[in-house]
Amino acid sequence: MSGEEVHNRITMLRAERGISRKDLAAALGVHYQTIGYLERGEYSPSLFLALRIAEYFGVPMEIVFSLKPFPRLGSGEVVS
Amino acid sequence: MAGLDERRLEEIRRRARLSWHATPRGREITVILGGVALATQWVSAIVCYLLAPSDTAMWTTFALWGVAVVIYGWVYTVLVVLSGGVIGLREEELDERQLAERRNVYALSRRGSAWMLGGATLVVGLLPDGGDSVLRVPAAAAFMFMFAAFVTHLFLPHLVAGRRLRDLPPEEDGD
Repeated sequence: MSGEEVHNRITMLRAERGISRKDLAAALGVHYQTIGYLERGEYSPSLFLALRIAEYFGVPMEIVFSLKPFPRLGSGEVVS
Repeated sequence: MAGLDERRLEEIRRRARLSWHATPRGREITVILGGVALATQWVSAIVCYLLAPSDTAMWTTFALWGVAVVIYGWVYTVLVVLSGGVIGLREEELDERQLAERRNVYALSRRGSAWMLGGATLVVGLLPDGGDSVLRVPAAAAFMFMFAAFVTHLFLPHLVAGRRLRDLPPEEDGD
């Protein structure tokens, strides 16, 4: 499984909505450190947790997770 | 260990000031001290083998027990807090990442335990038997040998978990 990296926008979504790590962790029923590891790309969530994260933010899963790095805001690339 | 839950863990976390221990160097020293605590029990088994039955063997064993309990009590507290409960908490209180980490830790520890048991078997096989194929070992040494193997098997996962700890995500305002 090593080398299989899943990129995500949890940090951005969380910041945009003013949600702390601990609040998100409590809503998802995980440890707050797990949110930190997810944001740093050091842990790839199960499909179940990924779906719950997308559901929590109310966005499709591909908005939160991607196999390719997300383009930086303002880079001019079209965001899917 | 069995009575630890998320509420108690939070209480321990509040009481313990673990900023230094959360650094890579601090974690390394904590794990080394845990290894030293376990090593004292093997030393005790050797002392009993060489000197038991005697007062020296008895008091050395008690002293090393005391040292190990004090050191390991501290090491265990630090590792429980730093791991966020990966060691210490009941499985049903862990999330999926913590559970996966605990299973990895136990799988790695099992390898370590297998090597330890292999080594212990070799040592017993090589002990001199006096030429009459009867191994004479003081009862205290046999007990301490088994005890050292037992506690090593029991506590090795904690040290493996400590070795695998990474830097914690930084705290945020409002966290």
